[in-house]
Amino acid sequence: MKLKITFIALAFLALVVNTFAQRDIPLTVEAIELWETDIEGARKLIDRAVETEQESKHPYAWYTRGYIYKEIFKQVDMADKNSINRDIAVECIERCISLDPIGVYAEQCELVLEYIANSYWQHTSEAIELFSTHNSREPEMFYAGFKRIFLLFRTEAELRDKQIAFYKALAQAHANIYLQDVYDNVVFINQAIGYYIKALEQDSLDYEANYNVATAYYNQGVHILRTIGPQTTIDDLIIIQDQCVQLFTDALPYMLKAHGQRPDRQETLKGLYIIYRALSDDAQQFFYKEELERMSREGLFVPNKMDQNKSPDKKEDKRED
Amino acid sequence: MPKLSTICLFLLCLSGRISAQQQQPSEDDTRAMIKANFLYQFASSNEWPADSKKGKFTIGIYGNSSLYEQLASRYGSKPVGSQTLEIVELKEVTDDRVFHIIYVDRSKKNEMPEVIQKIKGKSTLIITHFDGALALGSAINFREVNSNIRYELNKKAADDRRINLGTKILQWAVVQ
Repeated sequence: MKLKITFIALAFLALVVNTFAQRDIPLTVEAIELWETDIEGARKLIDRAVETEQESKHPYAWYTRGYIYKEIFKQVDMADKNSINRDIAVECIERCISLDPIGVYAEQCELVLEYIANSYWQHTSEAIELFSTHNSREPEMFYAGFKRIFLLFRTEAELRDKQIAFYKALAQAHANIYLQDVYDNVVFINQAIGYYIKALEQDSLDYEANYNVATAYYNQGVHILRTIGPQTTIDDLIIIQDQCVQLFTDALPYMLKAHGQRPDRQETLKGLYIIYRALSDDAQQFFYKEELERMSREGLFVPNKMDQNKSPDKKEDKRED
Repeated sequence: MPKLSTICLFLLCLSGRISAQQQQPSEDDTRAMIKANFLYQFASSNEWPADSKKGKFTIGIYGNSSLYEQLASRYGSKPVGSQTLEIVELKEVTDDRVFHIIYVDRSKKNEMPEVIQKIKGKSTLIITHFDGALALGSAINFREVNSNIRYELNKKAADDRRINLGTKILQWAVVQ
């Protein structure tokens, strides 16, 4: 029903534009008539239209130009991430909005902006999937584009979930680079932690971000400890221990927070057990180890994906002291 | 101007695939990693009498499989001076074999007097990790200090077994 009313409203609007605007925006109307059969011809017409004094003052001329450039971005450029036509489309829609204080074209403008925002989001997603040391700036660049456009038609509050998802995914991408070489790529795990913390600034109770920050800190300490060997002097060992204890200490509050949110998750209990073990806190490590065993025995854990995705460096726990 | 198909596309908008996975904390026994290195430091930085400098340098681990695994895998084939290091996991301590070092875990705390008895007269450095171990005859006892693993010394116990503790080992020991 709602769709039907919207369709009728759009049809009515088109009729009004056709009837009354032909006098004021003749080139724009001509471009509209042409765009479905000759998009390049429509582009040339609409470019000329907004250069005329009369049509450049009309918000519908700018909306039309924005729409046509958006279609060029979509159909001709095949949504190419480097297309400048997308930027032109946004500029035109912004111009339309500025010339349309009562929002006659607001709904149509929003649809164009929504499409473009979505394209930026998709490019952000792709840049994160292909994240490497060679394109490390791309995700943020595309996300900045998404955010700017999204906020033209939505609020900061509506952006929040997207922002959290972006920071967490980017953190993950950095953590993956770190894991490719945990000794040469240390800078990436610190950046990963920074992005998780940005996600937590948006929502301090985000389970995944808390858990992953804790894990990132903890694993960084373990990776440092793996460097010790016969060549390590006792002086170095003392310094390395201090450094690792600091990382384990940093991990603890995040794991506690994650556990507080999801006490039914096995991984947080296990996390607390091994962090307390690393911190030589016997009372706490035994408490969490017993909890882990009890809940496992009683089948109280909520299963999650991690159980099917064991870490490749997982080792059987044979610790006795 | 916007067609219905275009509107439908917009409605699919923001269905992005951005998502994050969970990492897993490594399950390495970090304390065993540190203690294994300390044991290697104790082996290589202290001085045993001349008659102990022949054959292999042997370390027996009594009661901590994780520590044994760390030590064996990371230091097992390394030299200690001119000797080759050999790591042995002990089921029991007997007097028919001489070790340069025996580590007695806290799980074997109650057997400490027997261990001391078995090594009587031998240049074996006893290393432990439990409260009160120095008083029972241990020469080096691990302790937790501000979440770090450190150690305390009973120099007399080492001297009695003709083992000279190295300068660095003495320097880093915590006061009892």
